[in-house]
Amino acid sequence: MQSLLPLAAAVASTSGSSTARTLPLLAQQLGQRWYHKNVVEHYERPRNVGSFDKSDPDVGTGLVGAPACGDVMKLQIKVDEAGNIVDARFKTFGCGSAIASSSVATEWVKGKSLDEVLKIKNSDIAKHLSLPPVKLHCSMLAEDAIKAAVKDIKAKRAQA
Amino acid sequence: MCAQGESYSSPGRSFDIDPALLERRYKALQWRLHPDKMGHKPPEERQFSAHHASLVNLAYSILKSPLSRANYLVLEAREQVEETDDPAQLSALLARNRAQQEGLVAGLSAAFRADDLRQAVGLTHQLQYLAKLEAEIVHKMPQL
Repeated sequence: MQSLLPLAAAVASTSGSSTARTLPLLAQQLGQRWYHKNVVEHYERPRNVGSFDKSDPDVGTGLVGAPACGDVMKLQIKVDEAGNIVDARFKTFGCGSAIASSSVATEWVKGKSLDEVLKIKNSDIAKHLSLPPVKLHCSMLAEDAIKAAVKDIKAKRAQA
Repeated sequence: MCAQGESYSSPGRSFDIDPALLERRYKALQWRLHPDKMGHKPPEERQFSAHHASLVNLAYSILKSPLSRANYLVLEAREQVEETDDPAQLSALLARNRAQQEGLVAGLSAAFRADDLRQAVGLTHQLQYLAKLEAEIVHKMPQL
């Protein structure tokens, strides 16, 4: 990693706008993990894998399918009486990018209110993970799953 | 979900649900289980019915929406494959999967012949889910 820095600096100094595209490309070509450790973690050691009890009145479940690739993502949130998300879990049958996106999503929703998490955009997740264009739909799936989980808990609480 | 799902769908495990029947069954079950009716019963009974009332609510919400029903079926199918390493079970799942795909392909053929693109899109989506599932099973059992 250290030996790449002078090379990266040389590239950065020659072109401003294409640097953002060039650095990840370099990293790929050289087989190096250039990205921040946290990004790698979501791919290699995803956080919050698991399930809550769907019938628990404090749990909201969002289940979304991606017909284009045949994958499915389940995201669950545990919500306190004040409407704050205290815990989250996910189960994703999909590619590495889908799993990483849902891992990020479950980390980001913790400690936030139901209204706050509705502001989480797929573009934020995609940017955080440096998702290539072909995998952008994975982050969209995660955004949809958050919204579906919020919708579910709100519906449950309206019934109660 | 399965036990409750089967009682609301037409005979033989199918996707189809009679919405009116679902409503009637749901209301009947909730009528029997509602916590408000349990005031005079001992605590264990009240807990039992409260838990079951919430399960019934859950099953109803899943079954009511065709999209959530479909997504749950997909999730369950993927979990079924994930949870078993038994070659016999995996073979059976693969055989069933391939039969379902054949059915869909026949449906697609008919849809395209009838120029029903909407139907074709729907069936293509289903086929995609099944194809992914097939790939998962095969991945677990390379000798198939």
